[in-house]
Amino acid sequence: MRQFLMLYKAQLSAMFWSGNKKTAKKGKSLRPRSMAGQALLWVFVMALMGVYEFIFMSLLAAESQGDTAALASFPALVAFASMLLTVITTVSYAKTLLYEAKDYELLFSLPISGGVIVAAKIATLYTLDLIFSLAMMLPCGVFYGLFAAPSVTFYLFYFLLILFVPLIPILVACVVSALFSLIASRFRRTQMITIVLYAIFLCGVMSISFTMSSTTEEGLIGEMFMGALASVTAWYPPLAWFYEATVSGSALWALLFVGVSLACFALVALVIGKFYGRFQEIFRPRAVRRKYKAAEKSSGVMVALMKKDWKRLCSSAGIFMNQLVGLLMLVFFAVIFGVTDLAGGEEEAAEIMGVLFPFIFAMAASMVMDTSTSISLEGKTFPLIKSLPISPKTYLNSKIMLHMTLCAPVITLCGIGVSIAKGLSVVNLIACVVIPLCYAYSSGVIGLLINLKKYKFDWTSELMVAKNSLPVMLATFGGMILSLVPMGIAIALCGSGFPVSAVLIFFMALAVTVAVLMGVILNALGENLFMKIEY
Amino acid sequence: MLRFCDFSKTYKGGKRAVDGLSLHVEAGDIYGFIGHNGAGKTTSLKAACGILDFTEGNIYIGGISVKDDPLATKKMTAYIPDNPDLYEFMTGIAYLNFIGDIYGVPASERNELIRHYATMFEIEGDLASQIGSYSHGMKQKLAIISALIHKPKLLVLDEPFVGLDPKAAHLLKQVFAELCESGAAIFFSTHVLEVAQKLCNKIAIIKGGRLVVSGKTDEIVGDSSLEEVFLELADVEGGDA
Repeated sequence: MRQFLMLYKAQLSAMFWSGNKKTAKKGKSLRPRSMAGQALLWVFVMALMGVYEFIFMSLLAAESQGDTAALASFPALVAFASMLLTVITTVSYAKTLLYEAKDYELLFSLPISGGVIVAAKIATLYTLDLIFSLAMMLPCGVFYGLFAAPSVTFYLFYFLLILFVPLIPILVACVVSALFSLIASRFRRTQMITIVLYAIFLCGVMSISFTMSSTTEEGLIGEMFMGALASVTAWYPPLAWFYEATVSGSALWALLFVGVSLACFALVALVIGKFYGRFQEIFRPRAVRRKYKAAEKSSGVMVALMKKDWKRLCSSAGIFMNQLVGLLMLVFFAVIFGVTDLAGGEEEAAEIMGVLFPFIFAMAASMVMDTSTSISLEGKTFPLIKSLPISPKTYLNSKIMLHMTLCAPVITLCGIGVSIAKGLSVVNLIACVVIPLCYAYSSGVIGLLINLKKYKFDWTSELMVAKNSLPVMLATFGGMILSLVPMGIAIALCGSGFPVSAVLIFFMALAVTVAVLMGVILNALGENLFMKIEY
Repeated sequence: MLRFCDFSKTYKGGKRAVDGLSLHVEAGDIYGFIGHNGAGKTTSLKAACGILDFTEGNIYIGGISVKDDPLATKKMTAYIPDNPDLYEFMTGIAYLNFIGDIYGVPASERNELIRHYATMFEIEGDLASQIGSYSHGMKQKLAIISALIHKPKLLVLDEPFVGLDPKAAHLLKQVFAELCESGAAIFFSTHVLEVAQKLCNKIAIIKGGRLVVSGKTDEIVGDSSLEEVFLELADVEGGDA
């Protein structure tokens, strides 16, 4: 236990503390990674979740008029959403943290068993995911208390069980990740196969959750929620235990939920720990004796840098999926919007949907986070970049170029595809392309600038910089806010009688202006920030 | 080729790593830079290569100031760090091509040089493998090849012999000699005093960020050994290690 706690503490310190060892040696002490900033950010995320949850809870309360069953389904569904997001965000990283961490040799040389190492690493993952679960579930519990006035046992079990909610999803993610890695290791193009498997898995999870949440097509919101809960619990029984424990106040169900979660944790840590060394052997890069292929032609500096960053992105399925999940979401939304009749055949609703599409695509586009981590991911190779004859401007522009090379084709195809499928106007079609493109560019620049300011080179796993890091969080939630707020304003304007085309043209002009401004800011600040980095 | 003019470097925390260093490495020189751990060797090398910013003094490469035109000086220079942290996600050949592209080396010329040096250092068969699978010595060899394929006028190396097997170390010394004959200059730090004494025509000893002595190896060493001179200078100055 002592070893576990020490290792867990060390892993957490590496994850949450900033500064780089080399800088620290030269007089700069390691300090908590903008702890106040991080805390503020999480408070903001919690507030954002709270707003959504309050809206749903108000609607449910108004509709149910004393029927607590419908209201009670909501906290359980929020718990499910939290579990789902935990699986989605953790599956691609479990491999990086567990099986490919750079500290493997150091840890394995110590007199610590594989089980303890794995337990400490999974506990680190758990801590990261718990923060997210708390942000989602705490406001929900408070609002449920306000609207349903439940007994004291609800508060007791609800707030206690939140601590155990991420456990099973994390373990599912660890097992799925190991399975995918084992399958992919049998192929020559291991990383590509892993990426494809993750993409299929994520699309599958998103499709199943979408299907489950839309089992009741029409009717009251309460009925829809209860229907969704019934189908979800059929797939995932622990959610039913959670529901029973919180709503009925049954200690037995609470014990079952906690017991199964902890037993799964112990079992997975034990099994993975037993084969930890073997996993490391399988997943590590292996030397191949084959003739190399000489270059047929040389590339320019910009292309060479873009190729390098593209290879970096493809080198880890975790990085690839996390950084480009926005593009996957964009394609997913485009398919859903293209093939389903969300407006129910009503012309007015179809018009509103036409206003929504550009902003929803923009939200997904701003979740493409490759630039938010691209400086930190240089890691210990950063001095190499600084020693090469590359101007900071070229270096930074190459990152934005790669970002746009990835985003632009997907945005254009999805925007045009949905516009044609839905028979939208030309202005609407242009908005579906221009607004997300501008968002992609602006968020790319913002992510890069934040990472230039808040970089971390001394990482032992990419997870430390790519998951829950400040630049990534700011890019994700900043993008979400900056797309949802204009979306709300646009709908309000259209509802007040402004022509849809005029509203879309206004927001297109605004998005283009912001994008141009971002380009100017990058030119003005980027080089200086780059030069200030000492490592 | 490389000139430090009253160069000083103070880090953000206030630590003065190098204090008023003045040194001149001429074309054809194999210049050894010797000092204790933390003496300021790596800081000086990194500053010369444009990796570290500095405000006091100046460094010139080929007559061009590193401060004023870092791109021009970097084009003439190749730097090999003490710990070859390379892009582990790339294959060896992809890394060499990346460096070739950055320095604008034409494909045909690059391929020839890669073949030549990869055969020489016996890693031709490993170039298709990911760098992540390389040993420390193989990474070091790859870093050396990447430094040589753009024919630098100045080669700056930090502890280049660490991790190399005896044959590769011998080959590297040969390469040094060939480069110097072609008019290039080599400036490297080392703790292996025997190597420095045998290989370098000039040496400099730095201690606590200050230059203790510099000049021709023969003149500094005289009839004793470099090890004796180094230890004697350290004792006289009374510094810590």
